[in-house]
Amino acid sequence: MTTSEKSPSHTPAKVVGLAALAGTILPPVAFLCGVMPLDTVKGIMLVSTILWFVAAPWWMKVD
Amino acid sequence: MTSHEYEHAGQGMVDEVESPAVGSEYERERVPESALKGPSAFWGMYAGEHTAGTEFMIGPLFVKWGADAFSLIVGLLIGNLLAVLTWRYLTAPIACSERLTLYYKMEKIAGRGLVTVYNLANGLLFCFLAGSMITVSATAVGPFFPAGTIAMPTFSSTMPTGPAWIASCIVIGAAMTFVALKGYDVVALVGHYSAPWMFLIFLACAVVTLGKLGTTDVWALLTPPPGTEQSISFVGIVLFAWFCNAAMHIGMADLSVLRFAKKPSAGWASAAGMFLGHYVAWICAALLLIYWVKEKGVNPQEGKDPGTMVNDAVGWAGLVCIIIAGWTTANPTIYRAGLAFQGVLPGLSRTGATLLAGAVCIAAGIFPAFAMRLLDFVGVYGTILAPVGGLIVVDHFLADLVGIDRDPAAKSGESVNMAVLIAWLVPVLIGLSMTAVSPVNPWGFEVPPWYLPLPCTMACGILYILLSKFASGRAAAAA
Repeated sequence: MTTSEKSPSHTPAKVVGLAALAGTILPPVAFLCGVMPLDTVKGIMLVSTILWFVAAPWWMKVD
Repeated sequence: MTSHEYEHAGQGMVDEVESPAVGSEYERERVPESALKGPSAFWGMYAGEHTAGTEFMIGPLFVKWGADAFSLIVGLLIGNLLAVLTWRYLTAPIACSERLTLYYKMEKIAGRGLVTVYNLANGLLFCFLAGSMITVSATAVGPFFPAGTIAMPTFSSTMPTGPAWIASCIVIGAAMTFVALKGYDVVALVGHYSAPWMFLIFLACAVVTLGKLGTTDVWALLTPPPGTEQSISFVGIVLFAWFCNAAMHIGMADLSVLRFAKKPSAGWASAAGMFLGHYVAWICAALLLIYWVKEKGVNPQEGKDPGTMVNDAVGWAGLVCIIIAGWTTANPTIYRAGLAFQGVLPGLSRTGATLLAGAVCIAAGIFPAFAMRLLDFVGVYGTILAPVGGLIVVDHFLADLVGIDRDPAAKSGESVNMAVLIAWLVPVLIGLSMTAVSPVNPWGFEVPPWYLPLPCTMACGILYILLSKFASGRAAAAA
């Protein structure tokens, strides 16, 4: 399985996908550092999860 | 626990396989040069397929058994390294030289009839594995309902915990079976897309847990309290990490995947699965239970269900992760188990075979015993299936040296090579009789199942040489 040809939606999808991945791991790090409450972490992670599954099919198309 | 066993079951038995994954073509011929793939194809596949829902069970089970920090951090490192080296220096070189599926290579050595037996064993073991995944996924349903609606199983649960639990397992299992009836292309894609996100969810669970515990000293957290009985040793952890995928590496099931590799160095790609899924993810999952033991007073011998722990740590994103991790692994497993059953019962339709496999999986999922004894089950799985790798190693490296035929069944046309059957069954039956899962143990001691794949595989190879030489000697005398 490899990332396929670049469609017009590839770059925006990649940006959203990377942001979603960041939104999955950075809030827990912020919680660990004591700068974000857990409920906010959970909320951001859920939104990031939704965004990831919207972006990933466009970013990670399979040959 | 691995999730790509599904790519192999049924191959050689059913000609049309609707898999988009590596390994579904050229089932009865060498892979041509034009179809070979570079290393990147394998890194992503191994990374995704070794991060499954069952990882949420294995880490906490180590905590239950009192594993210490050194065993977990260094033992898992060594065990996973040994697994990677086995893939790289044993499985991949044979795969790149033969370029055949395990099933076709086995057919040439053992005969088509024995491949059917192997497939049946594989199919049934797949069903129990998928059942464990249904169990884990069902624990993620509980937090969506008011507390106490669904009684969750603990480590000591062997029987269903109540009607709501049974209903959860049936609904999840039925949904998985229904999708399996449609083929599993979509689920394979979802699994592919999920991999990086899923790994980060595991990591996020650990990071949040560290935040809740107010420390980043992972070594201290993984150190069990004084007086904790250690039921698994350092060597036990090393061997478990090495052989939890024994069927794949020394058992040669991954010939079906790595035969597409341009060079044996593609075997290094297994490191992605081992060190992300079987190292980082297991330790992250272990930390979840450690938090519940330290802060909420949970008895480590009873444990806490993955759904509750993950929901407490990262919320609904974690619950989605458990369900997807279980679904993407169990669904194709059900599909492939169906193919295996269809190979054994050719009169059965594809739909009927998949429904049969799904029913067995749901039945296994309802009973938490399989998930709660996952470490034992994985060891038994490797002990039964890995020895066939010994036959292939002998055939590939030693046959000419010791003076026995290569691919004997292909030359003789026999359906069952008795030398193979005896060489496979004798070590497996003796080995399993030494374990706690055996109803009869005449030995007076017990051996954990994950100690057995290597000795059984070696014994199988040695017996195969001896029996083949004996058979050829008798044939020569008769002539």
